Amino acid sequence: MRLRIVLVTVQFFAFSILASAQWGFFTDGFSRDQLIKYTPNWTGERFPDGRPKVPQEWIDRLKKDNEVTSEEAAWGPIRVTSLGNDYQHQWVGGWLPINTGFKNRLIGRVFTVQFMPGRPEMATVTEAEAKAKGLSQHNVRTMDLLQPGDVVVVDMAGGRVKDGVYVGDNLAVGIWAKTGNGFVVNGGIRDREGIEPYGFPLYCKGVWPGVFGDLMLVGVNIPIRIDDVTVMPGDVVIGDSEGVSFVPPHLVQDVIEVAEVYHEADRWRHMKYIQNKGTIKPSDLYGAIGMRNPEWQKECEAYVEQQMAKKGLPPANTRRLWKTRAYSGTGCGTQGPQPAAPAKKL
Amino acid sequence: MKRFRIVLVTLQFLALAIVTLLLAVPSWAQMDGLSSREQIIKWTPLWKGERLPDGRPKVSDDLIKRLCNGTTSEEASWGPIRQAGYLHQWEGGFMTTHPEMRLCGRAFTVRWFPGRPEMMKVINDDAEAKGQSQMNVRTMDMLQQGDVAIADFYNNIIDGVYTGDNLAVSIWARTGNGYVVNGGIRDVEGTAPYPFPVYFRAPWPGTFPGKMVVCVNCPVQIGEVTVMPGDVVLGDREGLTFIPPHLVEAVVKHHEITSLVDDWRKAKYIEAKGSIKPSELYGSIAFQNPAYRKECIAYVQKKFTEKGQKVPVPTQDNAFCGEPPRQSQPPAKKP
Repeated sequence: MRLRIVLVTVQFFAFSILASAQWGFFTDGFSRDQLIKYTPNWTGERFPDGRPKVPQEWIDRLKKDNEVTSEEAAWGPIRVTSLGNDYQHQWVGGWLPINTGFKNRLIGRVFTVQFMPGRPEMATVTEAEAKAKGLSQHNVRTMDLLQPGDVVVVDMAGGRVKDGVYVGDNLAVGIWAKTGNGFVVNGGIRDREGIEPYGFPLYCKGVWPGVFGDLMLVGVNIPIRIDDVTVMPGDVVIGDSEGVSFVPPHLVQDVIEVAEVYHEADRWRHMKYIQNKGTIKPSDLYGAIGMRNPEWQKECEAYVEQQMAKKGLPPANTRRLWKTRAYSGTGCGTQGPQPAAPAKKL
Repeated sequence: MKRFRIVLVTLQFLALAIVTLLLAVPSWAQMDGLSSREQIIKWTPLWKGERLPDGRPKVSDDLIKRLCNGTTSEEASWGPIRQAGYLHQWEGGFMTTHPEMRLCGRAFTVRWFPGRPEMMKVINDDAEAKGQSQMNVRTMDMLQQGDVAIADFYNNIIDGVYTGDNLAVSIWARTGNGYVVNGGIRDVEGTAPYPFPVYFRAPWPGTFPGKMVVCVNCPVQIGEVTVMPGDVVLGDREGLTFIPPHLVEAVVKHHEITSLVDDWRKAKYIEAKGSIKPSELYGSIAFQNPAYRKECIAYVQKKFTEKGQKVPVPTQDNAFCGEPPRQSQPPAKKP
């Protein structure tokens, strides 16, 4: 009896190891273990496939505060070395944005898809494998893997539009219905006029009336590169009218909290500039000198605390955010943590 | 007791099996590791010949030598590659330290990505634990004789530098070849005096801060080309052709005849001082004069005889010096 239990257990382990061995860098995606290994800063929940699962309440909050959370708000926590984050890239602009804007942010968890220029012998292998499993063609079968809350981010061979089309209106609506979200195509789309009326936000590089030519699917949920950004499965997308931020999951909370506070500080500053009809110099309230007048700093902080209290954040918590998260020169000019020693370059 | 021993032995056996399996897990599971032999074999199914221990197709040294005879250009390889259904496989727009030289060898690919601090830490910790050097240098330690390193910095020159003169020379000494950087190099003046060609996009004085190697011997995209490890690189002053290994022989054979036809044709144009129309020797209505056709074939065959090689005879499948005259065929019967 005991032997059987042991045998079954060991068989199970051996089998799972074998199964994981079949995951490749491309065609089948990154294994759960690989995803965990390369996103070590994420300690929260994960999907069965290993992708970090940023809690729904954070996603909801990002969506609710959509006039607050922009690429600007995300940039600080992502990039500021003094907080030890030092992500130098993570933002991509230059899109043909469709239905994007102030009230229509694209927010969700990244699901990556990689296409590369075709080579007949490789495409033959992938398509034979897919056919044996009863799967659809290159682009459609990636969509079958999506789940609610995902934002599919597709790289069409580095941004190919001509013969680089991921979806037309049918599949666009198919994705939206499945995920509840729009998506990001570093490449082309078609049937723009059939997509627009549905209203979900979509980023692409252009429109082309055909399909994806000889491009071949080489990976799902692997690290991909969009322009100068390495996008990881499980990153959180924040798409606004300016572009798309890919926020590493462990920084999402920072982005949310800092964004709200900074948004209120910005509003106070705008008000102040306008009220004083230009008698306040730009550098008086913003930049390296920050708040030239300590009274203004107090006024700004009081305003932010009051606004945040209206949203349910006690003033003490707001003050703590200033102390731990502020970056010098912005916010209410409060000095934040001192910059760390420059990271050792490799 | 006996049952216990059985359990123990079984466990030992299975533990061993698991360890073996773990070792067999594709090592490209490590992002900075090699793709596994099995994976490379799976993705190059048309190559039936010898392979390197890492799984890369090993096109023979002899064939590479024939390819690299100094006259084979991108033009010669284009026909056989496109006929086989490969639409891309050529990339231009490089600077090179020696445009007069050819670059020939087996592709060894290195894929660089924009850095993400937490991933870089994992990658570097792994390497450190194995006693390996920094990102660019440790990929060079994996090179062997006859390789052509292809470092893909996604055409990013600023902070996308693979080598200076020191490592350039080390690669040359190790592989006998130059290499390709889809990005930058530095110390061009310290590199160029040595007789090997480096293909790169532009110089940049720094190194590669904020970038990371995510895969070695994975497919990389250079321009519009998907380059596979083991592809045979052919570089000339115009650019780089990445020949799928199973097509190298066809390219070489095609070129060995075509280059002679080209020699004969150009000499003929010049000799006739313009009295021969271009279309008489080239294009869709060329070689309608049987005398030209005969002369051209004789020239090609003479050159092969001189080299002591098997003399080619034009056939329907292996046409040169124009299409062979077609047999007049009876009109197809109506069903």
